Amino acid sequence: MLLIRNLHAGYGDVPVLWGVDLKVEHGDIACLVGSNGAGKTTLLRALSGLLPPNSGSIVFEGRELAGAEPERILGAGIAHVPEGRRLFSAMSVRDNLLMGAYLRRDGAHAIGRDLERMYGLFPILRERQAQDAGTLSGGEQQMCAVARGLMSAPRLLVIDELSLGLAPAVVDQLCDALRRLNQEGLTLLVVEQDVATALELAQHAFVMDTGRVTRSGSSETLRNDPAIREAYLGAI
Amino acid sequence: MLTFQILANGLVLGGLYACIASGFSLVWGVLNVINILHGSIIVLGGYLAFFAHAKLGIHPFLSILVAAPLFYAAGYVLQRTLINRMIAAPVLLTLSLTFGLDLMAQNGMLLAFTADFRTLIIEPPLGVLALGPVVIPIDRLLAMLLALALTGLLYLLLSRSRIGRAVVAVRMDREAAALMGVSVKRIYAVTFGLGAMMAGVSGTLLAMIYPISPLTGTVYLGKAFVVCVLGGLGSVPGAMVGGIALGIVESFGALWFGPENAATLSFLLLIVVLLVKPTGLLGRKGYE
Repeated sequence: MLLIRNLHAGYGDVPVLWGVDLKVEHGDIACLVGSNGAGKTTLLRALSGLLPPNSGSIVFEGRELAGAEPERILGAGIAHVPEGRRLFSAMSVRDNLLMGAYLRRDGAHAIGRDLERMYGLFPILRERQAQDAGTLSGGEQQMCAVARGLMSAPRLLVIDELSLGLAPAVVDQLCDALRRLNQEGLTLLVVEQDVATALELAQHAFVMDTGRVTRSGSSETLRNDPAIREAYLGAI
Repeated sequence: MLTFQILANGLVLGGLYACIASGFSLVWGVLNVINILHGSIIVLGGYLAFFAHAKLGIHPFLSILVAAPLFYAAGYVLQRTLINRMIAAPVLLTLSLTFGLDLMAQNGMLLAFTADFRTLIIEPPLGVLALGPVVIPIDRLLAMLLALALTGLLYLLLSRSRIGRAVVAVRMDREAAALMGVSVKRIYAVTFGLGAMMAGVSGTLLAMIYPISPLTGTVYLGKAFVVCVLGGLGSVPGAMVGGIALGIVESFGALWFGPENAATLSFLLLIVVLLVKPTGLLGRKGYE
């Protein structure tokens, strides 16, 4: 579904990605783990068009998207939930969700139905719909950010730092919701610092280190990989 | 009783100030551009109303129907072709750009219209509304109500429509807005177009009250500046509250300290607000 090949990107003269290869299959939950500064966020920014890559290719459902504008990439079916949620804080929760549907042309009726779906997925958002998004708790904000991403009706949802700063109970709730969405046919790529959570959620995992994907495989394999256990899971 | 008359005058003035400032505030808030050209666009709106009335006999209220789309289109094109090229530059550079454009506009108008003051006189006037001892010319009252209504429409457009929400989203977080599929450059052009439209229509309304001359734009620009810092940057309700507050303060200031000190008073008020509540009267978190 998504095939990234030999992707190079960086900020000004500072290269961050040194030839990333990554492949996500349709219907998969894939996770991307790695330490701070490994280039996970940069990879997602290049994928969603915020940062034009220097070279390499990003093919999604047969279409080449490297270097395209964010607008086109979202239109192609990839939605990006950015690090730090980046909600429109002085806008209501409902308006934030409607912003997610900005590019959709399938009419108010279909958008309204998806709004209801989001309120079904995260009932707290229905209660908070008229409130400014900035007044939500961290967990509620992440739910709102995920729901906003979903409102574009994507086929691939990319989430940066799903659990950062959230209580474990909220992380469980979010993971349950993501699993349910995945069963309904959504493909997911999740960046996660908490490797244990990531490997539990995902079927496939990619490990990034200094701008490259250094290891990949099924979550099961990586969980039992001694190097991964030592570096990320705290086992000896 | 004089108090009520002054209050009424202040409200009429304030409604027009709100209209002047709403577009300036929007452009400043969303684009981070201090649009020095704003005053000259107001004057151009005045000339449009003046000539439409003098040559074609069209009432200024009707010229709005032409002025609004015309100024919107001009603003859109100006942003798309010129200002967008510098939009990422520091605020002082875009300020220099609009300052230069303003000099060109002023001198262009001097060349085209001469420096003469022109007055648009509606004959016959619509008469006056007398509420006891308070007397308000109906022309002015209607101009003020229309100005407030247009400002209100701008507010509705921003808060209720898809494109309006995109403008607000770009103002709050342009990168997140881009992730929603918003074309930020297009929204910049829409925003500048809306700002120019508000300036142009307030110019047509002001032409009914004040004489028109190419260099009067600077005065309006000063008002817009004060109102928008007073009310809170980038919010339309802020411009409304700030505009009416300034209108009332100026009217009473003129009464108590003489008309020559009214402008000084309004800038003093500005300094006080900046000291006490730097976000403005209606400043909100997330809008700073």
